[in-house]
Order: sequence, then C-alpha cells, then structure tokens
Amino acid sequence: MPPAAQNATDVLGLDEADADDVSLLGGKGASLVRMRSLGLPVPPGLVITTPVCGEYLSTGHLPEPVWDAVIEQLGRIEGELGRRLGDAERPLLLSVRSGAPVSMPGMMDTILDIGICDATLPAIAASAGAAFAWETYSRLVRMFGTTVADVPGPAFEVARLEAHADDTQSVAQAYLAAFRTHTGREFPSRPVDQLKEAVEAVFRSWRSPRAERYRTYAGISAELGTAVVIQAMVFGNLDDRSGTGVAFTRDPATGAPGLYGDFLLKAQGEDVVAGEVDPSDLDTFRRQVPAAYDGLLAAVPVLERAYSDMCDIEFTVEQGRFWLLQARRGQRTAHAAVRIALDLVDENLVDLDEAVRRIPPSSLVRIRDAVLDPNAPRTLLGRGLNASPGAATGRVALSAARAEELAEEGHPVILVRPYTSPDDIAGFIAARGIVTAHGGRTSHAAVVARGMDRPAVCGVDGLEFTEGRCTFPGGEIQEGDEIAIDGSTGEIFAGRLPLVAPRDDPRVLALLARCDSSRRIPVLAMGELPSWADAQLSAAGTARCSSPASVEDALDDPDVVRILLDLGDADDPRGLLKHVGATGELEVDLLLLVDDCWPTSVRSLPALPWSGVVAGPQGDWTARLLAAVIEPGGRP
Amino acid sequence: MNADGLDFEVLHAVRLRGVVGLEPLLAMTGATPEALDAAVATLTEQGAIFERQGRRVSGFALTADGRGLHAEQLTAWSARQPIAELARVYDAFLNHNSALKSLCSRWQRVADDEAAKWQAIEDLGDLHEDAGVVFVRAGDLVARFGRYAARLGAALQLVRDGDELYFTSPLVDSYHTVWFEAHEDFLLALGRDRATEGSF
Repeated sequence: MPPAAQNATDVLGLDEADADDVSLLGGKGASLVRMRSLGLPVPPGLVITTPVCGEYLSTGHLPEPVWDAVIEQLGRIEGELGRRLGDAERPLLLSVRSGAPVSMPGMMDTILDIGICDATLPAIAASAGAAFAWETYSRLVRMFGTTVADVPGPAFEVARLEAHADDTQSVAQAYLAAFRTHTGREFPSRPVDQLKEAVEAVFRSWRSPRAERYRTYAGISAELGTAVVIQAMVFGNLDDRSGTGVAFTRDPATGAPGLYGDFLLKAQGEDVVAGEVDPSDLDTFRRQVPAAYDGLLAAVPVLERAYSDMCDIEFTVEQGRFWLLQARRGQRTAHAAVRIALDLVDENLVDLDEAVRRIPPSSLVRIRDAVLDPNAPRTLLGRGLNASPGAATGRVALSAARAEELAEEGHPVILVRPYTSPDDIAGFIAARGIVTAHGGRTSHAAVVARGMDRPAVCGVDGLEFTEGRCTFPGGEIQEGDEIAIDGSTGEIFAGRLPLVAPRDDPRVLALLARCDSSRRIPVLAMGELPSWADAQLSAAGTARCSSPASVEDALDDPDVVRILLDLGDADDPRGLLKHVGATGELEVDLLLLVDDCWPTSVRSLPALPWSGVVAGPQGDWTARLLAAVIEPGGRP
Repeated sequence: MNADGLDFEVLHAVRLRGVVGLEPLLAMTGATPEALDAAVATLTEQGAIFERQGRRVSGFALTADGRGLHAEQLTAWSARQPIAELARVYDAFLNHNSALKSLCSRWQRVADDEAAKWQAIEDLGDLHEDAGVVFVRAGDLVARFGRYAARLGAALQLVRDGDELYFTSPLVDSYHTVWFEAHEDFLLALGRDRATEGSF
C-alpha cells in the first residue's frame, strides 16, 4: 500500500478537491467533484481518499485525525443544508458509497439513509409519512446488516416472511430482531456510529472475495484501494414539488437527440427502481415542477461536453429544488450506439476514429437493419413504448397459434396481444414483430423480444381486444389485416409499409469504409454451395454448423476451411442458398450459417479461425461488418 | 408421484409452455424418462396433447380438448393444495419480481461493458440467493415449486461458467425463461391473472 498521505488530503470536501485526481478520489468521488466544479447542483459531501484505505486495512483502525476531519466536514454539510445528524426535527441523512479509481464491481457499493434511528424516525414520519419512515428504516437495517455486519440476506427474507408484510413497522422490527440474533448486538442507534461502521465496511470490502475475484479477472492491482464518498441525502418524497427521476441526454433506445427519461412525483429513488408505480415522462416533470426541470435542462450540455458523450443522470427534486445525484456515460442499445457516435462526430465532440472505436462490435451490425420507408404514406394506429428496436410489417395474429399458422403459410406476421405469457413464445418465434397493450420496457414481452431481436412496441394505450379483432386508438384491425410497427419509435401504422435499407447516409458509409480498411478476413462471393450444406440444415437455433463429416471433427481440425454465411432474415434457408452469388474458388469444408438472431448470440459463435464471410442476398453490409469484427483467430 | 399425478404435471407443463419438448418436460416434472414417456402416451391417447413439428418450434402442445381438460384438472388440483399459505409465499416472490425484470433489461443493455456484465451476474447471484428462500418455502407447500430453485440455479451456473445465453435468452431455459414460467405457474395455481395484478 502507498504510504499514508498528509492529513490534508485524507479527507476532502467536494469543493476542495481536484477533479482530475482520480487515483486519490476514486471514480465516483472525482465525478462528483467535477460536477460541483462545473457549477452543477450536487448535494454536499466529502471524500475519504484512497490512501486511507491502505491505512485502515493495515492497522484495522481509522486514524483519529481522519475521523475528526470527517466530523468537521459533516459540520459544513449540516450548515449548508440546515439539517443535523441525529436531530429530532430536521435530521440529516447520509449515503455512503465506495469508489475505486477504476470500475470495480464486487465491493460494497452503497448504503443509503444512514442517520435513521429511534431519535430521528418521528421527524421523518412527520414529513414523509409513517409507512415511508418504517420502510426506509427497514431498508437501512437490511442493507447495513448484509453489507456491514455480514448478516446473510436470506435471514432478512425469512424475517419478512414471518412478519406481517403489510405492516411496515412489524417488518422493521423483524429486521431489527434478525440483526440482533445474527450479530449478538443491537442495531447502532447513533448516526455517527452507523456512519463509522459503514465507512470501515467499505474499506474492508476492498478485500472481499468478490472484489478479489474481479481484480483477478480484470487484472487490477490490489494496491489501488478505494475511496469512500459520504454525501447528504435529499428527499424526493416530501411534497408535490418533490420527486425523483432518471434522464438520458439522448434517447438510449434510438440515439435520437432530446432529453428522455422517467420522473416520479413525491417518491424516493428506490420507488422508481422497484418499478411498482409507472413513472411519468419528463414532459410531466416539466409541468409539475418547471423550475427544477430547467435545472435538469441546463445540466445537459454541461455534462455532454464534460464526458463528450451521451449521459445518464439520476436526480432528485426536494421542495422545488433540483439536485443532481449521479451522472455517467449512459448505457444504450446497439442502434443508439451507432447513431450517437455518428452524431457526436457531427457535433465535433469526437472524431470518426474515436466514434468507430466506441461502437461495440455487436452493435455495429445494427446499421444494416431495414427501416420503414420514410417516404411511404402512413396512417398512425397508435403509439406505445419503444421496447425493442427495429421495424417490421406483416399480418396481425392475435394468438401464438394463429401466428404460427400464418407463418407456415408464408406470411410475415405481427403478434398483437394484451400481454405476454410463457406459452406465447412459439408465436414470438413465428412473428416478425410484437405489440402488447400492457407492460413497459422491463416487461417480459420486452425482455423476450429483445432476446430474439424482434422489434416490439409495448404498453399501447387504448388497445383493446374482442373476438377476431383488436381496436387501436386510430382504428379497428381484423386478425389477418396488415400493420407495420417501428420498435425504435413506438409507432404502429395501418397497412403494409415497405421496409427499405437505411438511406445512404454518408456517415454510415464512412463507417463502413473504415471497417473495410480494418478487417482481416475476406468477404467472399460464393458460387454454388456443396449439396451437403443444404441437406444438413437444422430447423431451429441461431448459428447452425453444417459440414460433410462430423461437426465436432471439423471444429477441431485446423486445416478445415470455414466460412460464415449471412442468411439475413430469411425464413427459408434452403431457398436462400440457391440465391448466393457468383463463382468462387474456395473448397469449403465447414459452413456456419448465421441467421437473424445472431447479433444477440454473437458470443455463442465458436471461437475458430474463419476463412471468410459470404455476403447474403440482402446486400453485403452484414458481411463487411462481420468481417471487421471477427478476429481471424477467434470469436468477435 | 403416481401415474395420475404425473399425467397432470405433464399436462400442466404443456399448458405453461405452449410447445414443449421432452428435455424441458423432464426438468419441469422431475420424472424419469420412462415414466414421462408413459404419461405422454396416455395424454396423447386421451386426445389431450399432440406432437407438432413446426419449421422453427417442435414439441408437444395442447389440443382444444386438452385445454378444457387441463382447466378442469387444475381446479380439482388447486382445491387440494394449501392455497392460502402459497399466496403468502407468492407475495414474497413478487418482492423480487420487478428487480428480476429490471436486472434482465439491464443485462440486455450492457452487452459490451465487461465490468457491468460482471456486476449484473453478481447481482443475479444475490437475487437468486434471496429468492431461493421463497422457492424453498413454496416447495414445502407444493412439490413442483421446489423444482424451480434447482432449474434457476442451473441457469445461473451456466451464466457464471460463461454461457451468456442463459441469462435472458428465450430460446433456452435461461434464468428469465424459468422465472417467467414460475410466475405463470403461481398465477395458475392461485387462480389469478396478470391483468388484475398488473404484473406484465
């Protein structure tokens, strides 16, 4: 461990630190310091820096001067907010978070609501309701118990099963009893004791088996240590000018510009994550607390410039005041990754090489996806949530059985259902796209559709069903009628709309050209494929191996010539094989046939040396992208 | 389990899955291959199930009569189970349901971020440990529910061993597939429906 730094940098307020010193502050700490320095409204807090981790782990104690400095910083926080730790009227609650210099899952992550105890419970109940107070107390006891005091999670699960689940007070008392039983002591009733134990637990978790496993896996040095970030909590559930939300600075499903996210009035963060109540969108937020919305809007360009990327923002509004809790590069779908990278190039935030570097290989192929012809006239039937990206058009089936029948007859199908049950899966497989009346982006329909690369629109308001037909806000559709859906925008249109390859966007062509120059296996045009290839196609599965001899032997033989053949979205692979292009010279020993599910299963491709990729009849984009992302010696 | 009991279990499994092959049926019912073959033969003879060979999906499915037969038998079966206790355990299951769906969505979104994927797998392990308590309790009341814990654990282990399909892929018995099925099984056993409950 590095020697302990001077006391002056052991404990730093968020306004005192240097945002660039990530090795001292840890990633989380540095990010909060940076946001404060950019003038963004971040709740006040402090960082106990990484050298203290080493000090604690080697001696088993937090040095007295360090704890004194923490107390002093807490005094400043109390001053800034007009709340005090342990106060019976305006209690201060704190969050405690780990934060290593590099992304390091496996450590104790977060403890929220430090400072709830018998003394402060009445004040919290008075401002936010008794149920919230007891639930939050329960959450603290459970989180604290499992992460600080090593009480096994199942112990709390059993306690909850035994208590009366509807009575929040009895659950809290059951949790307190479980804590007492498993630790032999009472849950700490003084906030400073809770805080100190939490801080020490963060440092100890640097050496947890899970953290060590991750360090081994990722090749991270054990010497780095973690910082601890202590921050004031703000309350989103106090009144009708309070709430909590998540915002992306661009649409994480499509990459389209514009704020996108959820907001829940009069709620804390955990309520949103639990997903029990449907959040509203940000337009609603704008109407409910306009001044706070302006605060969010103002933060967007600041953050995108600071990260030169799309960001996801967690925020809370307390009595009309906007607070920014966390910001980081936002997660995004494959579609969005492509669009955002190219948009950032246009906006001069990154250059093309950096943009290509940022698009993950499994996302690159999304640029080949067909879209609904933007020039075709259209009638909007309804809108829902964009649950799984892509476009599809076909005949409506109202049941899985009907979907399969229509598909067997050779029609493209769109499965339209109130919601999804496990016995609908065969219908999903038969369909080109999915529509559900209920459920959101985390619904089973959405998870299943994404897992099979089927476009899906979920949660279509006003969609109703009767025998043999369904009624959208924009019109009635009989089973068998044609509709078109856009899973990236959530729109549903009447009639069949043509699907076209994406326009010749010069930026996309530039990206493809970059792929062409960097690929290491050739793109081939093949003549007639050997007859054994046709004979051995199997009916189901995503990537199918076909070989004249045993597939296992072929996989092991280094001299076997292997190629990948893109089948695109073909329903009938046998028919497709007849369309593959001009003559070639390669004597092929093994074919890997890649069909329309492959982007999600790309990691299940066997790690083999590939001799080439054959373009399918829909064009050569997939082949060129695959050739760029697959290592000659192994999987992408 | 006697032959009648197994016949119902198989019929119920087909009802749950829509179209299901022999291998998942073995896992779902815990039967021996011989006993399963016998049950399948009986149900086929009764005209309750048939075998379909689709272009993409093959397996056993309910006939129209089979659907009716299942509904009758389910009612009779439920009447013999400790439904009130099962309902309490189901409430505990629901506590984890939203978290599981969010975690699956998060997994699908972080496809290329190794650290985030690692964390998601760890989080799945934590959820599995906590939810395991619920399935054990459920299994004490109704044997079939006890099997879900093992099937979920098997999926989790495959994910940990590097087979990422087993987190959410609908094409295999992934964690999400089995969880989804378990939830449906609870709903059928308790006579509830997703629309009333609002859990999609």
